[in-house]
Amino acid sequence: MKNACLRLLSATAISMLCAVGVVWTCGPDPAPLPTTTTLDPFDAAAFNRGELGVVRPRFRRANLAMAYRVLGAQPPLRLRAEAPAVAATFPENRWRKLRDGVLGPSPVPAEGRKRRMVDYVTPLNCLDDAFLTAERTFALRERQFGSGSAAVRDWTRAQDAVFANCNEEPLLLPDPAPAGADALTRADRAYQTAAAYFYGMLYEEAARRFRAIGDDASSPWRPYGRYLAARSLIRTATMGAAPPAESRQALVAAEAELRAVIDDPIASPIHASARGLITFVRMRSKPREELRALASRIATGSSEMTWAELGDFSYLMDKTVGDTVDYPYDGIAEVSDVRTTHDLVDWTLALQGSGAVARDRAIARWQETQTEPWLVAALWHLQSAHPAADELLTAAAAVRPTSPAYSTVAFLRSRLLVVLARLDEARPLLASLPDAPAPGISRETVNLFRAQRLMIARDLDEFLRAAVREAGPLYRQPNTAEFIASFDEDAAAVLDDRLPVDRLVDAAVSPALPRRLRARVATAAFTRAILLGRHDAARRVAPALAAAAPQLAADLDRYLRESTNEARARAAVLLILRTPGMTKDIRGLDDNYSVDHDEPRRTFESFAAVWWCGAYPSVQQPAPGDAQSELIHYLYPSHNVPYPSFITAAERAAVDRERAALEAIGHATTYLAEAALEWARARPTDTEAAEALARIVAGWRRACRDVEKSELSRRSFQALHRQFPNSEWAKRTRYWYR
Amino acid sequence: MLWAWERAEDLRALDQRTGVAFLAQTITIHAHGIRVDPRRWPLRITDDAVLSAVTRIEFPAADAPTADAEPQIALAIAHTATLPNVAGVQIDFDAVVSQRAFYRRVIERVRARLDDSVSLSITALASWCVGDPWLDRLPIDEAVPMLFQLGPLNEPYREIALSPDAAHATCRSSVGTSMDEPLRVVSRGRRVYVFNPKPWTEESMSLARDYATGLKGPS
Repeated sequence: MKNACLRLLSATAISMLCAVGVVWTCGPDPAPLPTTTTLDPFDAAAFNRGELGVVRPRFRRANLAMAYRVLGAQPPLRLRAEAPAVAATFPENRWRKLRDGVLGPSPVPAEGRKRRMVDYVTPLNCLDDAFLTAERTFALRERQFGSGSAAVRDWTRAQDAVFANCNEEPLLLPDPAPAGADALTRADRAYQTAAAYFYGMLYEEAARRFRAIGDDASSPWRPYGRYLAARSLIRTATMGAAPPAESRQALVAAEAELRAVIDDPIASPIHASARGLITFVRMRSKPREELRALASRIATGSSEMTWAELGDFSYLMDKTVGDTVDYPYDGIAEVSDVRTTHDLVDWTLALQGSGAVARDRAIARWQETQTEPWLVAALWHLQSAHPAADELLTAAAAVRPTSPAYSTVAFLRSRLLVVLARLDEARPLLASLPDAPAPGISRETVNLFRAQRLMIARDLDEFLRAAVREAGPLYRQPNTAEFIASFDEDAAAVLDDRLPVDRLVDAAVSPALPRRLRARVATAAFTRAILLGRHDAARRVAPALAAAAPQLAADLDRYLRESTNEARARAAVLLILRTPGMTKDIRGLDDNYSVDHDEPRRTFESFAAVWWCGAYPSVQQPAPGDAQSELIHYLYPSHNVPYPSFITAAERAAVDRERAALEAIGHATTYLAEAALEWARARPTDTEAAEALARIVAGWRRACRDVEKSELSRRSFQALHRQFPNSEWAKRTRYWYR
Repeated sequence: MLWAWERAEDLRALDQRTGVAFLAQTITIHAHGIRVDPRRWPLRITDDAVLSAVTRIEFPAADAPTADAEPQIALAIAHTATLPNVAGVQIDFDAVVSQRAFYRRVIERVRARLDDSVSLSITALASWCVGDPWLDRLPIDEAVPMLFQLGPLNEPYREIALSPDAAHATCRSSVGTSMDEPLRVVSRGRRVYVFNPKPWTEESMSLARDYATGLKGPS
């Protein structure tokens, strides 16, 4: 279920996501390759070095925190990973093998580590560390008492009882230590008994027993006693249904225990864990204070920080606005109070939050502070005329190219100039901005500048040069990111729905497009020309299509050599039937499947569209540009990409006529089946008609089709076998499909 | 049926005619074993709500399962049938071609572990429901074609929303749509599942009911 997989992940997942910049998807569904990302920039490493590019509101809040710091003239955070060591095999499985070796196979199912809680929440009860500790202790006791000794068997049986409490059994306590047992065995048993209460979720008793262990100077478990007492108290607050006041009390008590651990030199091996737990506790018991402390550290503190700490900041922000980057500012609970926590918090909410209140807050804070972070926030909110526009544009113009805010401010300044129709200022600004990736200039930044140039293109050539973007990253090999030339939805919306076929042909023959994109445009131009009966346009584009898509060269040569429009139409229909990738449509973003094919494809492939679809009455057709592209959100608030200024009124009328004609044709399958049947009727001995009939029967089930017209598939099948019974095409075609 | 995914959901306002298929756990298959991540966020329902417990399976194509993965997965899935109010279990696994034999064996093991009164459902990529015979003879009660997030290449499959006859026999008793890209569904007696990328609200629950009954949808 892909929607679920694309949700914004938070907290612990953040560090991994930030570190590698993965394209997320689930299952075999194609994943679009963006030219402008949400959440994380393409090059997270460069971003974290302070090369911010265009800072965007829909970035993950951890990224915005980094951006705020750098925009505030602080050195970037040097983020350290604190990734736990990943066990080669699952500790639980290793423990089970150990205990089975001593006690024989367990009757308890392997999956037994969770406790069911209220409301269908079933958190893991026994974590990996528990099994690792058992494994280490087992090895120690074998060395001390001897492999196969009664003492080891006794210890293992007791530990088995401890882990029995991991699942939903009633509380099971280890047997008491044998009479006359030595001090170590008694200490082990006391620890195991406390642990059994812990996994049995009787936390008060567990805390009492662990505290006693912490006070027992003779126990080898003494250093862990108060630490585990604290964990018992934390679980009281987090895993049960304790009233809020009781939970808070438990957390306060847990913090006191953990501070005692840090003050105890004997417990030094677990001081770091104790500190981590103190943060964990304070994030729940005093979240506002912890958020203030973290924000302050991020904004102006030492540049040394862990990913986990940055994740803590995100966690606390998530608590305020939810696990999303799209939220209305005036829907944030107690926003006027929350924003006083720290300027970073205030800025993040004003930048990400939508609506007039967020805009007014950002402008007001910029006017108060005159800082670049707030200039960026204020500019992001201006997408129409506003009394503060001139003031902000003046400030934006003063930002130096050496500033980390420069790319962002230049992008937003030109966006506002375009909105205000001050194109004489926007054009020279955009002309001065980089048009190719370079150190400090990311692919996304160039893509965004090109998207703005596309908006003000004065002719087709300018439009096409601005239409070419770099998309990705694509991971064909581990750790190897690859980028490809691509259209985004803005260019595709214009090419697909704003240009008459003659202009499409002009685009296809232009050298401004790289080969794979020229093939895409030429494919659509040729197909549309055929569907519209415009053989003049088809003949003009055919050489460009042959050059960009050599796999079609022979069929196109045949098309060009025909001397009548009837013969040309038959040649074109056969070309389309032989080429499942032929389509009248021009797609925007590529996906991880489409990039591996030379367009247009000559074979049927999994995960690839076949020919084209007409409109389905059941389907809400997306508006042009209303797709998955991030830049559409930023540059076209209505999600409507308008006609380019160079398209004349007469051309718009031509677009309307052509659109109506193409819609009337409907699905490719209907058009091609009718053409093949007419071919067979008019030329009953033409063996190429047999091929046409066979190909439409084969393609029928793979393409969009109208179930009410499935008789076309049946009739094609019958005509093939009736008229050409001995042909290879008939022999190959054994079934027809509805 | 409403799909309730991994987020806090309060569905106590849901009417009695509507069931809930809630994500109960996610199983990830690794080369070294399986990892079962149970639900982390609360699901609040009325005492008489009817539930289907969904298990999402994540299986990186590069990994090969261990020998004991199949019985362990089957056990974990069957275990969800013991949760309160659960009348059926559902498996959500976008198996690629090379994983289908494995998936089939898991389904067979789950079926063998479930009581006959517990229904077994799987979610299905739309393409599985048209001209793809791999669903044949699976011991399941239904395969729910998920008609959302299809992308342009799956346009041919959208007709399933209008007519069960457009789908493989196993896919004809139900259909899945989503709040953010609803189809006009003609249910014709089918069970309609509705996914929501956002937490359910009373308003969205009402709208989902309209989508499911065909009262609303794109025109």
